[in-house]
Amino acid sequence: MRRACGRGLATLLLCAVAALGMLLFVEPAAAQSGGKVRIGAAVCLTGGMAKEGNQVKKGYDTWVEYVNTHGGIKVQGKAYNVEMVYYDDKSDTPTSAKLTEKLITEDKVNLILGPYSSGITAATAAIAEKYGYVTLAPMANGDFVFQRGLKYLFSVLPPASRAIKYIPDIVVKKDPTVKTYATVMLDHFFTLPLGEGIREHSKELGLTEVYYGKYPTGTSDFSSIITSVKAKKPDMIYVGGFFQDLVTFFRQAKEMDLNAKAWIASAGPANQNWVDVMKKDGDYVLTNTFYNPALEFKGGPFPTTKAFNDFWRAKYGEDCDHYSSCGFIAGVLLQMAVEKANSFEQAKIRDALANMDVETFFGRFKFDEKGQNIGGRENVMQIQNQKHILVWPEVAAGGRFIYPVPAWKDR
Amino acid sequence: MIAQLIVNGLLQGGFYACIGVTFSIVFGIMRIINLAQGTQIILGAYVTYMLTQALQIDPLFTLPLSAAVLFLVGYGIQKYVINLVAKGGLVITSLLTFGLNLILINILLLVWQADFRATNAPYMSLGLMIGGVRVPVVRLGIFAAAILLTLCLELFFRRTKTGNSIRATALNPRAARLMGIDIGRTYCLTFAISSALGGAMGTLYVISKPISPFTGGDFLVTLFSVSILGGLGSIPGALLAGLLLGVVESVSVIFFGVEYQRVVLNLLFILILIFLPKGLLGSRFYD
Repeated sequence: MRRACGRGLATLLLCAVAALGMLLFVEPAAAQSGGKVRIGAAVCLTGGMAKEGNQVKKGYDTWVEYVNTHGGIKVQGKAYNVEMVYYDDKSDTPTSAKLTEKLITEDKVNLILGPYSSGITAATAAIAEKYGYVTLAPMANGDFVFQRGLKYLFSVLPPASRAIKYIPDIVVKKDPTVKTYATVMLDHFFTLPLGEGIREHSKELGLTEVYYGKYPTGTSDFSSIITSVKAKKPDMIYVGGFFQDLVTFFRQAKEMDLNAKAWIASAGPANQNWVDVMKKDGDYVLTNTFYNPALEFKGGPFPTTKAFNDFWRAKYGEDCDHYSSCGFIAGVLLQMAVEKANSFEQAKIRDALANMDVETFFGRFKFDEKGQNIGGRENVMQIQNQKHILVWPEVAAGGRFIYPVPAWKDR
Repeated sequence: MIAQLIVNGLLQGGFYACIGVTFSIVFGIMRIINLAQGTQIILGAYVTYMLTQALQIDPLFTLPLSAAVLFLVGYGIQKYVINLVAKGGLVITSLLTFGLNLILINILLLVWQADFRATNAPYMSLGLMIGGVRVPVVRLGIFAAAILLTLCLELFFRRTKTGNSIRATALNPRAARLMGIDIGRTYCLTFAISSALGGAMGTLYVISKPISPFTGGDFLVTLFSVSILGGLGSIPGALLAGLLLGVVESVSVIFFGVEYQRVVLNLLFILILIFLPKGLLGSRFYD
């Protein structure tokens, strides 16, 4: 995410120049092109974020196939089959912005599904807004994306500042004697909100912060940080960073024998890759996830989360992952909004989303005036025995939260 | 805590020193800034990753192979690419290595995608307590290997005929040619040796840390700082500089906090350029 986001300013400038030059207002094209509705998406199919982008696309494609075999999108008594128009944004923000403009002005698609990553979404949503198009973003949770007053942007994921905010609740409920914590955060716009959220909530819980450190991107040695944290003997340790940062941090924590009763980390342990790389050293970490097959939510096109996951397993032979699930639910929400608006008019779809409050097999969706999903809450997983186990909400299919975390030498 | 921080710094500094040496010899001897060096190190790491995945062997055993592969890659790059424009000067060769870096990164992306990869040796993350100081075993091993390889290189330069011809070429290419030294071949060898050592460092790096095609970029500031602080082309200088940088970086945490670790390093770099342009043991990096 971080690479593509760096060009945000340049893109903003580009948008401003484009907006000045553009006096032509393009009317969103009508849907009745042979009973088809065309949905455009520019996603990362190559480049640094190709893996994530392709997973999102898989979610989109699976949703499209599902809709088309289940009666299409219904507007004013007519059923419309979905046809996707894809472009590869090469994981590059300005390219994605240009392609989004092309989708709207040249391809004249009826609807837009968002790209991958917060940084790219910030740029494409501004373009779509200029033409009065709704952007339904599958994977943008950076708080900064929503602080620009965009009216047509709606996000599947809850904002990052809430992502790990409530995880200490689980620990405090289990052990009210927990008093102190240390926070180590990557100094990056993607991870700082994670830290702000959890620190704010920890203060509300009456916990004391004994250490706070921000490390720069590209840090490959955490030994000084770990030495400082170890000297403070915190009960809990919160770590924020990207996958590679967290792998290095946890490996060095073991080397330096840094222990705590609970470890909370994001974003990295949620990936399957975490278990592959860390093996048993990756165990016991608490982390956030939006989707997990063990969830027991109800509603939407599938009666339960399990029913959705069974459908996915039957098709692909594996559980649906975080990225594909967000792609799929983005399509579902767009369909719900269009059907509620009973129109392909963007303004009406926007209003439908703004007033939406639904329970789905993914959880609840309700958007605030910034377009952030404040109805949903990220769920909590703990890595146990090299598996991702859902520990909150406490559902039948989930597992038991293991506490306290054993010291490295006892594992 | 201070003792722990100094040990942390020395262990990290050993690695800095060694990657600094690889950059320094090419820079000092041929006046070529090899901007692809970081990615070449990572290429060595990928060779190790690939072999450990395919053969399920200890990553340390792959060190000679990743060094050999990188030796060939380095030789080829110098012979068929850089030598063709070597006379063009610093700007042209820098542009060339910048481009090479992009090509290498994209090849890595094509073959291994942007995912982070890591090896998992059984001795990973073990630590020893020595006099109240925690010493991670892997880092100690990496430190020892780095120092050993660097010393071998120094011996090679001082004691062998080829080593002497490389040093002679560095001092005065024209005079060296008059003495019958094949400059083109010497350049190829120098570059290849630097790449091979880089490849070996890549193996050591991937034993403890995850890699992606972009990881090499993070090495550049360290490469520059170590080679300039040490004095261009000076192997003992780079060794000293690497250790010094490691310790300064680590201990600065006490005074300035983690946020400013990088700032302290970069500040130190600027001060060296102003007050100590020849580095600790060597020549000025600019004329």
